[in-house]
Amino acid sequence: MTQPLKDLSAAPVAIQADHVNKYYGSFQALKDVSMQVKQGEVVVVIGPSGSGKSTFIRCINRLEEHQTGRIVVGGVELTNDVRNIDAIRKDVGMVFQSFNLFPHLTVLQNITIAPMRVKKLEKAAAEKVGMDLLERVGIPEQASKFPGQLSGGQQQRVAIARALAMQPKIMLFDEPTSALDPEMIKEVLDVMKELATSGITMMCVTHEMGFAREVADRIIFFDKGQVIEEATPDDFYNNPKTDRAKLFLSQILGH
Amino acid sequence: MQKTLETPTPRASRFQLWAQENLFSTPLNSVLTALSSLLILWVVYSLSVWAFTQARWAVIPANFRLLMIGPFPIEQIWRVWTVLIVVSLTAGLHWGSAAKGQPLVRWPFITATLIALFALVTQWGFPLSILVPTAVLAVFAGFFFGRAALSPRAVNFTWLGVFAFAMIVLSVDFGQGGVQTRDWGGLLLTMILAVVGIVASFPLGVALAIGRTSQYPIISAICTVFIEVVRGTPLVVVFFIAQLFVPLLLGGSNIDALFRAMIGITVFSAAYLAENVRGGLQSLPSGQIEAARALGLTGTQTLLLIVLPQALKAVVPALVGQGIALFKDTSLVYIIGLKELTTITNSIRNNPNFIGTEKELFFTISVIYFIFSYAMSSGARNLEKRLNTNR
Amino acid sequence: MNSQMQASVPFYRDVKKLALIAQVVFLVVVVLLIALVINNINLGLKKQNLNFSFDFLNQTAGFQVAEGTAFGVPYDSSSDNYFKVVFVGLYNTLRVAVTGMILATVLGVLVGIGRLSSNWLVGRLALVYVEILRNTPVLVQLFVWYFVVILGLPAISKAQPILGVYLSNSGLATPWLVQKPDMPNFFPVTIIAVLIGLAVFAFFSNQRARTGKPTPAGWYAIAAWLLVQIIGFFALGQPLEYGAPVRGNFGVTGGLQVSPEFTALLIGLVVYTSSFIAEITRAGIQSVNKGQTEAARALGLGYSETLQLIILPQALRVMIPPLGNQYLNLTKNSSLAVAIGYSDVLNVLGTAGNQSGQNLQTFFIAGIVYLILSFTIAFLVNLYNSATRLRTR
Ligand SMILES: Nc1ncnc2c1ncn2[C@@H]1O[C@H](COP(=O)(O)OP(=O)(O)OP(=O)(O)O)[C@@H](O)[C@H]1O
Ligand SMILES: [Mg+2]
Repeated sequence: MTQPLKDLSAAPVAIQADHVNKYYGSFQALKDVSMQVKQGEVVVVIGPSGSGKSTFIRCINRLEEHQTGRIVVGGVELTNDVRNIDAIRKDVGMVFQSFNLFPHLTVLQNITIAPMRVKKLEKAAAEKVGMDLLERVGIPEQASKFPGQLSGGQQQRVAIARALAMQPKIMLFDEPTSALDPEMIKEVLDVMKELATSGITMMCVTHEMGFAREVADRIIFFDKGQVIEEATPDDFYNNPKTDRAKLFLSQILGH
Repeated sequence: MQKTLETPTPRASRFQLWAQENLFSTPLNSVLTALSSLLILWVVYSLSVWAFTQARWAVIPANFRLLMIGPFPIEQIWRVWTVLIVVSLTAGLHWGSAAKGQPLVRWPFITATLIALFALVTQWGFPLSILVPTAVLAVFAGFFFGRAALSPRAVNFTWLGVFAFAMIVLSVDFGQGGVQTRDWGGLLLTMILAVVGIVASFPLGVALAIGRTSQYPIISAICTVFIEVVRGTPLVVVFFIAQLFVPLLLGGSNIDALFRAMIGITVFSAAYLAENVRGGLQSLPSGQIEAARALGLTGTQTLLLIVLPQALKAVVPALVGQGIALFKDTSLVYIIGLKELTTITNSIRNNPNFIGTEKELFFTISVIYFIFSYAMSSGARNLEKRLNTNR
Repeated sequence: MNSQMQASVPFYRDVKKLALIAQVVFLVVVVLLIALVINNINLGLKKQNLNFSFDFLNQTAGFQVAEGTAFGVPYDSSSDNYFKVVFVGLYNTLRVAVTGMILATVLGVLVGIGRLSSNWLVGRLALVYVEILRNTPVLVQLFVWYFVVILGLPAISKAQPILGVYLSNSGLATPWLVQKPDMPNFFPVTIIAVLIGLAVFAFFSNQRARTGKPTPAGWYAIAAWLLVQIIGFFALGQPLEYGAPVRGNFGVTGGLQVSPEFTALLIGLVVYTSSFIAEITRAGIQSVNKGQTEAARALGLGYSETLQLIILPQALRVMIPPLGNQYLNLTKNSSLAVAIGYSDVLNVLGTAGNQSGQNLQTFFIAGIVYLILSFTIAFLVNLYNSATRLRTR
């Protein structure tokens, strides 16, 4: 269960959050969240339902707006500045629980649309990138099908390829396997593991313990909108320090 | 009962089984069947008696040209034929491109028959004996060419070109005098009004729908008020207001009455269209927009590439329904005196030579309206099936 | 420090400010457009030596209106003003619209049930009915009803009464409760009674939603309405009496007399709208889960009981919003009265406009009147809608 420890102490900071607060109306979804993710680091975020995991990672590419505190991604601070937001979105890829593929476009078009429209890549070049990525996630033969014709696992792999097509430095995953049937989870996790070893910075919301133990450098535990505990996977799963983490683990492992 | 089920000939027994189940399953059903049969017999009988012994059908051929094109000058009629042939060709292309790899579908036949029938009712003579076969031929030529070589998308753009072409050919002076729009009439004017209404109201309606669903409260409020006010007003009132206010607006001069009616019908139709499109926009899961923004697409790109294509596809049936309603609503310009099909019919009815022929006239134009509306709605049903299967 | 960073963002790159700017620009453009419109209209009016004032409403109208009263108050063209004549038109519009809604609903629901009948022939007949009516313009249908059917009927002198009802080319005459001329006007009582009925309905459906107790709000409402009508009837000294049409030398007198224009418009609107209501009914019934029918049949309920007790109440919830749209359409289509010469509000306003030379104002008023009618109907439908939605909790 041990992994080759990456030496991240000298690596530059990829994501920096300082005292982030986020409200939905009067409800506070994030309370004074601070954390740092180094370049090349793989971080797994876990926590009970409604604890603010999604809210936090959606703040990182401005799908949600935080009210106070600072979020700096790749040296660029998230402010109301359009230029900063665009720059950060270019560097951050995201994979959703419900895939969110574009149903009116083919698999290949799903992947090439952003490179062509945002990076202004030629069609041929974009399709080359797209086919290479489909190769990488193992479904090149599905290129001309529509998303609706694919299985859930295949769709999620297309979604990963689509995010990778913009060559992001950081990848965000929001429970990428929890909408999948058990037999399809592995094929998606395999792709994610391969990605984790490639040196990209990853932040994953997932409850897949095997995945976390194998590739995560760090576990961040959220509860009630706060970061409660940060530890290596081994430490976290074997001897959690806080009661809330213990309770949570006993609930997900207990039965 | 048992005995009838066991009759030796299988076909008869299948029919009897069917009748047993669908017509005489209960005593009440038997009574209903009897009553309906009587009703049908009575309608068919009285219609036939009227149609074959009493009706004075001569009024139709005698006024056929009026019904079709109104007071359009006879020496300029080549314009109408040119447009008809070009439209026939494009319609052929349209059906051909949609019927890739399939055998002849029935629409080309129906169109060709209709063109021929229209022509037969008028006096058959020199120009017609050339022009009608040309139009019929154009439908089929278009069909085969379209099936072999064109994508449906290419044809959609062709339609826009044909529309512009038609408006020019029908009016512009090429040296021997043009045609005033007030001389457009009959079915031709009905068609022009419907097409202009549909084409012009589409962008306006989509824009209003986007405005109404926008996250910006001021824009949303203004669009909502506009849509609801227009939808709360009858089309007739919109026409009256357009007749009075548009000239005032554009400098009090004598603005073309047809143009005013077009503005009225466009604004009216756009408000309804906006509500249909809004349904499509709101049915789109928010994840679609989030995914697009997360990929770095701009707001406009997200709208044009992701949101609208899906939203519009979802509301195609509603949009066609809207088109049919608009086609029927063109008859209301009767009230402001434009000479489209319904108005022309009424003026023929009031012609002393044709007193007492309202049944024949209204029957005929009802059939004309019906054919076009029904064709549109069954076309929409087919389209819906196609869209559903390639999901 | 966040605020410091943001202060340095130029406004043309700040999402918040951009959103605000976009809205302000849009608003300014719209306001400018409206100003331009008003300005141009003013210029145009000046050029034609007209002015946009509503003073003419106080002048004597001086034209006859073929039928109707200002909600029960008789109209006299020699002394009454334009303002009053508008109400005569409005009364006529409401008369045809409200009657039309009720009849169209009854007919439409019947045809809609017929569409789903297990009897093949009935289903086909209903389908043909719907398709023919929906695919031809309502205006043409009105012409047919008026010029072909109604004006094609025998003259009143030759008409045969059926159950005391005369149908002829001078319209419809039927036995009815009629206002006694020297008695107080009964019409306001009816309006009050309907309003009270609606209030009772709203109250009880609300209470049902809060307490969860099954309350037949609809029946209470009807009872309240009837009660007020009856009390009013006796309180005012029985101002209504039974009257039957009698044929004399100059047509028919007595009973309720309806003009051929009203009859044609009413039939036309009812039949046209019923085809849409039929489709709404069909869709509503089909939206009810098939298991519901099977469960009801398994419990031993008959076909019509299943329909009445199980399916229609559930289908109704789906049907209400599109039904409300049809009521709106019917009301708006009643403006086609102009085409066959029925004195609805638009027709009266049109005449008033020509008579006074104030066309702009009269059509402006027409627009406002229809907007008020439309929003009222929309409001009532929403009210009913929220009442029935609560009930499902
Ligand atoms: N758009 C919103 N409006 C109001 N409240 C919201 C909104 N989105 C999330 N919340 C609330 O914020 C809190 C955190 O939600 P979030 O989706 O981040 O939880 P989560 O940790 O991702 O949970 P899960 O494991 O169920 O996905 C929840 O209580 C949720 O109800
Ligand atoms: Mg979540």
